[in-house]
Amino acid sequence: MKWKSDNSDKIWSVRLLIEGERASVAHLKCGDETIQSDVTITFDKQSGSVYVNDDGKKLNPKITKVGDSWWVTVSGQTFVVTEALHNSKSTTEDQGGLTAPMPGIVRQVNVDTGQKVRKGQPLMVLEAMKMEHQIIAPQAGKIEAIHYNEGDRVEMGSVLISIFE
Amino acid sequence: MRPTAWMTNSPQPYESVLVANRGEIAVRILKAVRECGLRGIAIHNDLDRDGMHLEYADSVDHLRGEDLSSTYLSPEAIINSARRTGADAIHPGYGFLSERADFAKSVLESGLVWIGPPPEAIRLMGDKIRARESMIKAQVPVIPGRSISISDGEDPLPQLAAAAAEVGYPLLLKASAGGGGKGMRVVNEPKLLRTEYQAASREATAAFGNGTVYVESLLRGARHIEIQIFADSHGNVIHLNERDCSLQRRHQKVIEEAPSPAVDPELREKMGDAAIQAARAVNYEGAGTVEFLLSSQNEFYFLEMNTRLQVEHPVTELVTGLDLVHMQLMTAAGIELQLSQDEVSLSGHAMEARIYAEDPSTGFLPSIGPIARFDTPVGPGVRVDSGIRKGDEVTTSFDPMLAKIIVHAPDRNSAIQRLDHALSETILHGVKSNIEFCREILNTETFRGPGVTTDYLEGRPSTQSQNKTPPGLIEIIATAAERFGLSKSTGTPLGNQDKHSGHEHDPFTTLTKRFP
Repeated sequence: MKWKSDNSDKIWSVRLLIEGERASVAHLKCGDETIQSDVTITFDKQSGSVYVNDDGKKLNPKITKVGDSWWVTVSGQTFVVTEALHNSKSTTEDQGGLTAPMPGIVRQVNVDTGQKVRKGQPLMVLEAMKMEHQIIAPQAGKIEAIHYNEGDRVEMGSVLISIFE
Repeated sequence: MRPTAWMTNSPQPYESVLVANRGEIAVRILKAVRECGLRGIAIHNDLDRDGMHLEYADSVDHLRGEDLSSTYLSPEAIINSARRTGADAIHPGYGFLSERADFAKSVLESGLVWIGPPPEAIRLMGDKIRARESMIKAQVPVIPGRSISISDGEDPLPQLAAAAAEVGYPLLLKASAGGGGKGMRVVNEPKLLRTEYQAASREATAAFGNGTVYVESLLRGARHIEIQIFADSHGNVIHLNERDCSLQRRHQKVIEEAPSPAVDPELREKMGDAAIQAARAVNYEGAGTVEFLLSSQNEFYFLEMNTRLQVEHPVTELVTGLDLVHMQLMTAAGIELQLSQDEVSLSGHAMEARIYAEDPSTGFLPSIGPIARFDTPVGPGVRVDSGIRKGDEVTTSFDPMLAKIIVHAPDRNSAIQRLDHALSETILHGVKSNIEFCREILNTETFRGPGVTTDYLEGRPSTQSQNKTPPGLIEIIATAAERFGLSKSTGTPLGNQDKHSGHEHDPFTTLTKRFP
């Protein structure tokens, strides 16, 4: 996923590897620069809390979703990050930030980043409750980003693919 | 709850109190009112239907209108509300109508109990020039200064120059009716005298309807020390020690503490006596605060008297073990003070941080937004006086001061440590605040050492400190939060809640929200 924080112009791109209730960093990029990160995150379903393990140091961030942003307080500092869906000013409705209509698993990715697609083209297959669901391009455009890989678990509403018109 | 025995047996008993205020101070007062077994009455206007203070009242009255002038600031609307709700007494809180002598007078003339000082004392202290004159008469030291009287169309320069020659540069031009930094101008050199006078006078006219300005010597490197006083209707006046409120930005206090690191027992007694003199000079009753400037040579000067309960009253409560609102309620019922000056204690150290809805990264502009999360600290020696809770919305309609975190500890160092930690547990999401900024100040060498003077924050950069977290950590956490579906278990933004479903986790709400 791509993020923009309120106190910096840099766009961060993050892909996590999720195993059960533990997440590790599969890919972390700031702008064009790839950054190595050994941070792992554990999710406690019971309390709804997440814990960060940063090289043996345990952190307990407080996180709240407010509108489209996440407010994160960690080590006494509060940050606001918003998903950088797109470079254009358009809204989610017409810019093609395709979201998951249900929680599930990505079964198939049919396109690559940078590829041109036509309206109605199948982009991804999502599986949930033993049903397959096709993610279709709502308009013609260029694939700007694919936020999940085959086998990834997605939550309802997660942005799967960004299309640039 | 049963009314307390003292009230039932008092010379002027009353059963219900209308609190003509909102936010944290209304909550604070309503709690005290109910603790005394009295009926608490809260008011609100069109923009404040869900105000937190309404939760703490036995009766709620709606003042129609959106603007303050026809609601919280309207003496008529409030007195009518007291009639409608059958209130016996009115407590004004701070701000709004608390220091309006005409309002106090109308309350009394309506046959209601006024929980505040006599109208004449409010009037006298509200006029800075007259207050100054009364203080000179009562032999309370005042800042060297001179009043001037400029009639319409008159060139102010001759009088200004004469006054300036007397007090010296730098000097301060101050509105007679002023407060809150309005109508106040620093003049460093003679050639700016006329233009700055005109600016100050214009500002004063706009803010207070009175353009009278006087000239005062400007004290640099001074501390703001104020003495809490308390007077009953039987002629007893005591002081409850000092508070140091030197940490201010644009005349707005941020961190307050008691006792002051700059005041020793001898100076405390001298300043306390002067404050009592000041209160006696205007026949004061109830809770009041005499503000002084303390120069670097330890000389103190009368600044002004606030004829009301102050925002920072909790620090005095923690070091004295007293409940000032409780005492106000007793005094208004005609009861004598329950303790003498010798019985006033000063135990440990108390410190308060005001949480403002403001954004340090934009030069402390007020910020707005939903209170999506508000975690407050608890623990030994920690008190929270708050006027907000999760689900509220911070708008520009009301004051940006949202809550106060107050701590009590055995000594100053441990109070700083305790406040720093309490603030680290204070999590406010949805609206930007000065929490981190307060912690930054608490950790400066100057604050931890001798303490600060009133000009400390001037010129201090308002940007927040560098990101101290590992690179990308925030973005990693946000990604994990999305992926683990935490948006459904944490705060829901206001306005997205489906009214008819009545449940913030309603799947249909989520559906309409996420799939346009």
